[in-house]
Amino acid sequence: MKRIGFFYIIGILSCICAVSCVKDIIMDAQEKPQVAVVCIMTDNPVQEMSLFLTKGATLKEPVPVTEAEAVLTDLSWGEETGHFERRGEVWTLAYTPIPGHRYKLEVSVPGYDKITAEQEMPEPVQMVARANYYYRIEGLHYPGSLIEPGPFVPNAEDFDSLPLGAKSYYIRTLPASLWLFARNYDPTSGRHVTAERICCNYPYTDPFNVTGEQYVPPHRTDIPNPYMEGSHVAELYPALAGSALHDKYLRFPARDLSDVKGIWFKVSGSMDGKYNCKDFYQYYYHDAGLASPLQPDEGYLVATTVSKDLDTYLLDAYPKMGIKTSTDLSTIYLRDNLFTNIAGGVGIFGGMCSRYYQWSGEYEYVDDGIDHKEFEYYYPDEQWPL
Amino acid sequence: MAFVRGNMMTRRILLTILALWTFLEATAQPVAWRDTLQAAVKTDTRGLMVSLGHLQTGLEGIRSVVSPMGEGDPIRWAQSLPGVTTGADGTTAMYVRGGGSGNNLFSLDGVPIYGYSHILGLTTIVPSQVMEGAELCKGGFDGGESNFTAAHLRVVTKNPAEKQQFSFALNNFLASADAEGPLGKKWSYIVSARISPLTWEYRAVKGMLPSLLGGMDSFNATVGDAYAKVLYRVNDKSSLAASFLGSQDHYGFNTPDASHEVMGWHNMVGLLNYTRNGNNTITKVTASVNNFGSIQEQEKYFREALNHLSLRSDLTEIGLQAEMRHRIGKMDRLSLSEGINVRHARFSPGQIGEHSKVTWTQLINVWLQAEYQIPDKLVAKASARYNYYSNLSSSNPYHRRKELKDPELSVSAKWNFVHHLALEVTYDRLVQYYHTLEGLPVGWSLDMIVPSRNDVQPEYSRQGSAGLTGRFGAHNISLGGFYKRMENLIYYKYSQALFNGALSSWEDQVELGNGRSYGLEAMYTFLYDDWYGRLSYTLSKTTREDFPSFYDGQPFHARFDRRHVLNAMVQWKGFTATVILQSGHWENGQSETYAMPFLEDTWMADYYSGVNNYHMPTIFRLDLGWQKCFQAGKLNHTVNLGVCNVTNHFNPFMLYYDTRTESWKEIALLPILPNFSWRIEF
Repeated sequence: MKRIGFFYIIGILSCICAVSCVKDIIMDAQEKPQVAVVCIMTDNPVQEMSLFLTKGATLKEPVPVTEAEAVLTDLSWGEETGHFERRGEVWTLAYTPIPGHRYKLEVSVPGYDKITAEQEMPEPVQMVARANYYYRIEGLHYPGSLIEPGPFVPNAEDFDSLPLGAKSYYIRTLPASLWLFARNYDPTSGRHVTAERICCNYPYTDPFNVTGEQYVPPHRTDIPNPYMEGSHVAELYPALAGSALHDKYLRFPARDLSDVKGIWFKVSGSMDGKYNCKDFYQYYYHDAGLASPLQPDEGYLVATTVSKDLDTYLLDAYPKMGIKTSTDLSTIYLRDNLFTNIAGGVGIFGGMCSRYYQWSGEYEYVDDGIDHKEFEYYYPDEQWPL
Repeated sequence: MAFVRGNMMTRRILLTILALWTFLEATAQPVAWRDTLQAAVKTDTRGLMVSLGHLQTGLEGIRSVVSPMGEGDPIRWAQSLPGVTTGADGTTAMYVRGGGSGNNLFSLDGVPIYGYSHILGLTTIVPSQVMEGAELCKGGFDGGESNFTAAHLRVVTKNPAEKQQFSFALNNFLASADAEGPLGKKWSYIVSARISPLTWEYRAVKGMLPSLLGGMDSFNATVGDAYAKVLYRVNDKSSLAASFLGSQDHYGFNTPDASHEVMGWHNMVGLLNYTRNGNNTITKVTASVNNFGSIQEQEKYFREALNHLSLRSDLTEIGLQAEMRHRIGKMDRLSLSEGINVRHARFSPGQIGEHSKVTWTQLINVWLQAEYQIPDKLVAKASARYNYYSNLSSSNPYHRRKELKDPELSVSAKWNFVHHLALEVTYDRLVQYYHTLEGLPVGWSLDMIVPSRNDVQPEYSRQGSAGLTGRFGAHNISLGGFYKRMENLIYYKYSQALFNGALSSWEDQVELGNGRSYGLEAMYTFLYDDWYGRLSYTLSKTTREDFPSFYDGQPFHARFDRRHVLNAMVQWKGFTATVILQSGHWENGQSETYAMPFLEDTWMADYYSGVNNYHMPTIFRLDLGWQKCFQAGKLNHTVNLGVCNVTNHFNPFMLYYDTRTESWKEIALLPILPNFSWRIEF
């Protein structure tokens, strides 16, 4: 009994020791926080900037900067565009940047060295889209496609590989890197979220975020053709079958497009729900963007050109965002700081121009209801005004 | 690439250690012994030979250090000396004068031992029974010492006894058996073997304390070592010795979250030595074969994904050393030594699966040393080495390097300018071609060793020291200062990780920079009758700099830049009290965060102001021990009882990342813990 009692006491002591020899630790170095500046110019009439201090591990909430002097200067014209004013937690400036102009941001925060950054405002992308449909001439239906803005083209070469109503896109110029992504409407949260997967057959897509998965066209069925004999293969973007799926974003690096003129590309992926897509009659309004008004529950494509430093930041941030959900434990030990072009602080000063596009994921036969005269709007490929 | 880390394994192993520790103590209590001999502690052999650069002790000095194993070992003895700081509390990691743990050389009879830790870093692989003594060299190195830039801990084995002797010993983690004696007139031998009963102890404890082990299953530990030495006395002046040391550490188990963990390391050292003590010339020739390997395997779930790693490293080295020492002149004041060391090594670090990256290296150094002494007045020594290093092959032609040639220099002098005081100065320029990618500072022999090549330059150090040493009756003092510059230090970015898949591509995870260290070292010893006391104190500052990724190349704290290190030990008869008080080391602080946009989304980005920017708390430990020697019949018994960390001060052993809570935790290996060892000799 003594031996058992002894072991019991030892066991209790051991448990106490074992419990007491593990502690949580928060290794907050308590160093002076940095000023985090985020100012991404857009072509909207009001520019926004956020100013916060970096948050230490023991703080619950980040501390906003309440006293600062922030000036935006147009270096191309050599004039000051204005001072940012604090509106709650956002600093605003009523000014529309001019594409191609170089800007300088200067921020003075008491107790810190002066913060500066420079960047050039990018040009917006010039992208056109077209859709396949049947057009009617003197009562007869013919397959063709319509360029937006532009003429419709009969006998589109890839008509058979596109569902009716499906979109393809053409980029006229690409002076800055373009990020293309799809925004699904999430009925649960009532908000738009970026589609998880996206692919295209544009030949110069940056493979930085390919997932290793391939696109498989869904819903392959034969649909009776109401206009012509037989049926049409209703397969969503079969031309993309086997294409590499990217994680959320397609990135087209800036390049001279003279060698890729005439290349139309399609886009698909994990687009869910209803997407903004004009009905056939709206094709006649030469509007490359969204059918307006955008319904709250509609998804859409976003094509954003970004300035050089913003592009660098996005490329650097992408894998670091992945660390937050990575299952690779080694990521816990990475200590590389995020790219910044802010001298004297952290964050980013950049410029971007976003354009929004329709996308079709429906199988539909469209008919504009108008009897065209033969070749009324026909342009040979080489004469497209692109 | 998938990655795994042994944080949970670490925690469970440590908890197991605690449990087994307690269990051993429990089983040890009923042992009865009879005190038939007055306490007789050989205090005359505990003392140090005091010198700024060289500190020596005998076996008793090593054994008298209180340790979790019940008796000390050379590393723990060295950790208590000035100029030395420790890694994680209670382990065998040590840092000397601002160098890294991989910048130290641990040798056995002159042959490097690359994986010298045992039992999860609690002790060394050399059985104390075969040791004659140990010496820690911090400056003023001999000509034959090469390929390190910080310190040399030299362990020397003893020659076999002239009569048959046997001993058995048991402590918390090891059971050992030793034998030595003559084999005829010219032959003699020593054999020693130790084995750890951890697996059996685990099985016993598991049933009694299941909750303590947290559901850990199938634990097995294969831990042991063996040493053998055969000595042949050719004649009165010449002898030939062949010795072998082998060690194995292998741990594996399953965890409740279906993870399987394995880690381990091994050493095999074979050595053939010829020594001739002539009238005026001493000749030594040593041939050696040395193999060190480590393995890490893990299958672990993190965020519901299985991470798998199988990582092996191996280093095999064949060495030949020859040296001669001549006494010149009738006064024997001048001696000259010369020698050559040749090492041919095969490195295969970070093998994943069948993928192997093998590199062959050759290191040849020739050296010359002159020593002049005037008895009781002056000892002056100068040695010069010339190294030829070649990296013979590599899997990547870019890393191929044909050759490197580097000189080394060591100078020292000790001048007794008055009767009791001596002025001592040293200067060293050292080169190191084998580099340790330092991981956790726990002394586990899992850190990968890689050779110099095109993108990993040799490490260099230059150091100087000056100070006073004095002897006043029973009192010895030493007080000195040192300054050291280090070049091409390797910073391994994943040093906080234990199991790390990044080791397979270590080239991408290291950065080279420089460092400097300076400080004061003081030691006081007292030896009188049954009393022995030692107080050592180090005040130092160690920084790293010129690392492009950190602070724009500006200086930052070395990880074990402990500003104050105080070690105090008092022995009276069989009682020993040890106090350790040292500043906390530096860890990488957690990131600061800030909100960033990503096109139409937002996320929280991390900002790291730097590395080694979080100061850990001060370490304090009070250890008590009691040694009793007694005779029962023909058996001599030596029993050590002790308690480590009597005040139960929380001294972090290591940090680990808890994958379940996704938070950092610190774990202490040594809460208040008893220790025990029992040796029987006849």
